[in-house]
Amino acid sequence: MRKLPQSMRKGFSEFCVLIVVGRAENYGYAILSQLRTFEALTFSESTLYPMLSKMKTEGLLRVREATSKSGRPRRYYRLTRNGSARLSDMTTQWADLKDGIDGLMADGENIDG
Amino acid sequence: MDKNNDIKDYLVGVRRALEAHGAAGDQIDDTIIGLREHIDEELSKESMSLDDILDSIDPPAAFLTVSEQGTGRQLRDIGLAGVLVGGACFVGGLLVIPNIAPEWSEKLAIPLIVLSMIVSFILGYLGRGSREGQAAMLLGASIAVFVLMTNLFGGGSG
Repeated sequence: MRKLPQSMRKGFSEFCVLIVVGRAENYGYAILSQLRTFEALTFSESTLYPMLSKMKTEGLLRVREATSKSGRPRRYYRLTRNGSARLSDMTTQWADLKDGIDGLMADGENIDG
Repeated sequence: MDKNNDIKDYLVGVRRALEAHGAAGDQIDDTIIGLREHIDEELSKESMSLDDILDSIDPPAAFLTVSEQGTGRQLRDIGLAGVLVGGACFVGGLLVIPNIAPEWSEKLAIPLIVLSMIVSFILGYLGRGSREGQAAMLLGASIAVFVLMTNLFGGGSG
């Protein structure tokens, strides 16, 4: 899969983190593992961990510290009410954007045709 | 060098990179904690050696390019402004005006001290994600305590 240009990655990255954390409370390593399946965004440690911190500071994520079954400390992230609202907004915006671009491409095909 | 030293060196490198790029103190601490957990998770799998793990994750230099870090610098600047402006108003109201222009003291000193408290609190709150912002809030709280104590003891003696 091709990598997205940086200007596009920036906007989509936060959306993807909200989607993954919105599915279930999760810890950093597991979140990164899920995000890495979306190769176009090229998520890595230097992208995710500062972003989780920023989203926590902005009140989009809440952090709970707990110990894993193996005894390691873990920070679990989940969406706050503001985070859920942002996810909902971005989901709507994404649908609008996708429809708009699909429409433009369809118009282009019609004109070309 | 043992494992802990290798991990520590890596994390120190990341901290320096984030500091050099003006990341906020909280963001740096959160990132370091996240990376430490990340390395521990990889180590627990026992599928890679520590050297392989450290080679596989982003090098410290990669943290220089984190796109959001300008925000940290802004928070630091706002917090620092809170400390400097709040501190200057407080010193001005408490020491400078009463000594230089005693006749203005009644009209200006108290408003300046109150202003210093408000400025420190507001700028500190806006920059609370940085250590400088937290210092500004602490300054505002200290001034509030000072004003309260002065009123209590001043009112009692007068």
